[in-house]
Amino acid sequence: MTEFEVVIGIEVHAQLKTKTKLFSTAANNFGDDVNTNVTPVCLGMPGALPVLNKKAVEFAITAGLALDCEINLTSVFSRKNYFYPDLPKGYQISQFDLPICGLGHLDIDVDGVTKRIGITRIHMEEDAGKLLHQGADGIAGSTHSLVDLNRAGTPLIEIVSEPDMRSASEAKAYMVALREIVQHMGVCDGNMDQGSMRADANVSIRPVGQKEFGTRAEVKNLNSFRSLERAINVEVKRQKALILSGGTVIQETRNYDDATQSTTSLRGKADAHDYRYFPEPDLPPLIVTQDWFKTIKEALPEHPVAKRERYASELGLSQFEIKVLMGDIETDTYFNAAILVNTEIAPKEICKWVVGDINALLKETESSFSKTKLSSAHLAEMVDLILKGTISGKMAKDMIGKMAETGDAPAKLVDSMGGAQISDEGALLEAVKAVLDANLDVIEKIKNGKKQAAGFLMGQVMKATKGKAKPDLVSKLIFEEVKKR
Amino acid sequence: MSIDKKDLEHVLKLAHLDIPDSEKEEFLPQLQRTFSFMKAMDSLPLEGVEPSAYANNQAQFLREDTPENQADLYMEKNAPDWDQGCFSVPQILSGGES
Repeated sequence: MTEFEVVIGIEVHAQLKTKTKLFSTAANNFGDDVNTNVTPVCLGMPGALPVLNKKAVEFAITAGLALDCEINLTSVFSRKNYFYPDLPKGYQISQFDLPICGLGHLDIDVDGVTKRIGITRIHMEEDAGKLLHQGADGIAGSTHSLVDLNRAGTPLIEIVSEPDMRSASEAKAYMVALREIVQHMGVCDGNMDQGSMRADANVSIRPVGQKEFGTRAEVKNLNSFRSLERAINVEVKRQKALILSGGTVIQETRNYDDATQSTTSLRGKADAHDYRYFPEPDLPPLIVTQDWFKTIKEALPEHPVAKRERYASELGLSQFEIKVLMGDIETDTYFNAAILVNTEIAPKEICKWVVGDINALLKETESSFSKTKLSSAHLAEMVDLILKGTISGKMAKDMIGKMAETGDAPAKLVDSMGGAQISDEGALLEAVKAVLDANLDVIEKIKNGKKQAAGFLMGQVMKATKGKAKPDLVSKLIFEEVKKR
Repeated sequence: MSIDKKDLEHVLKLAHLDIPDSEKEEFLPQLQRTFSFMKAMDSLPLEGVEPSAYANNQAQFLREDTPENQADLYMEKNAPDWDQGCFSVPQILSGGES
């Protein structure tokens, strides 16, 4: 039986985190009331002229530099012409033959092996509006559609990869790495469920050993890591079956349906698009001066690769902790805010709580690091109380639940939770002595070498102090006192 | 490059225009004449001249990323059909397709 090799290239659309749209001063906000963030430019009104957003250009260059791309200091916007109800002008302003960024690359890690994936280009373009199909779940079977133009004109970068990936898991690793880059470079929020980052996968197969690529199909709008991975596997299976039964793959766009685990043709070859790109007459070439380019370079946020290294070498974080922080920008932002509150505290002590108990609590309560009432400042305060011995680790675990619920400061909660841990040696010694006096037989056992019997005494002291005694201090006092007797 | 009726029909289709055959006969020679104007450029000495898309070398003007409140655009008055704050458009895919 013929063995096939899978060849995958990915196009990722990432929405830029600007305050306004690419060519208009309308707000770039997700989730606002329909058709409230629109201007005559977004509507494509006659005579309305586009004016390019400087910040969007800076973000595009920032992404390009993070992916080691060549930056084209002169680039050109073009019109991509097609008719669709979500595109009021009848064309999308995009970049075609002279995009802002050229060749670059991104290293991915699959099963411990590093692989370099080529980046073909990054270009800037505007997003289309949103269609709300009526009378059915999707476009198929709908009776009519409502058009919300809030998204129309949102700045996007399209990052196009070389056909360098050979499996669905490599494609997923690429997407994960790319998301980390755009999030940590601060250009895109990376919220795939809100459509801030969407992938199209170009998938083809060829017999192992064949040099020429097979004909590819483009699978559209994959908006989660899982759907990207699954859609590729489903499409590969379809192409294999097709070729083995004597058919041929045609170049086309296909839609992936997660429910049926299948891809279906979106446009036949007969009406393949002819976009008639031409330079946008309303916009002269974009020229980035050397000075401006230098300013952008100097202001570049820390690259995720450098950040990972710093977390390991300077902060002493474990690989697991680094993975959790880097995998979610909100978690990382929270952690970095918390370690700045009190620089006396070792970041590792803070990280333990962020990655461990708080992360678990937020998942359980379906909250997040940006939404929780447990502020990063309160976390730092709490860790400080633990390190000073005011509260125990166990008390802290209860405390984070309360802080997340009420937003109260740790100092306030210490009292309402029954007061601080008893770490005063004199006060504890009284309690220890009382317990020892009542348990002379246990003392004998310890003296005869049964050290674990001290656990019972520890329990009694804890009971007597309502759990507030500082455990390591109690343990120390018990052994000291036993020796004296 | 010459343009034949097939090219014209392709362009009409892309532009979503539907015109009778008699008008195609009328427009085709006009379009061919327009294209033949371009041939005049062939007589110029253009060796080493880069193609240009713009008449002057002006750089693009850029805007700061500051939102502005928008005046009421009376969108509903410009919409042939307006529903729940949105432009309502007819069925996109025709019946049998999916």
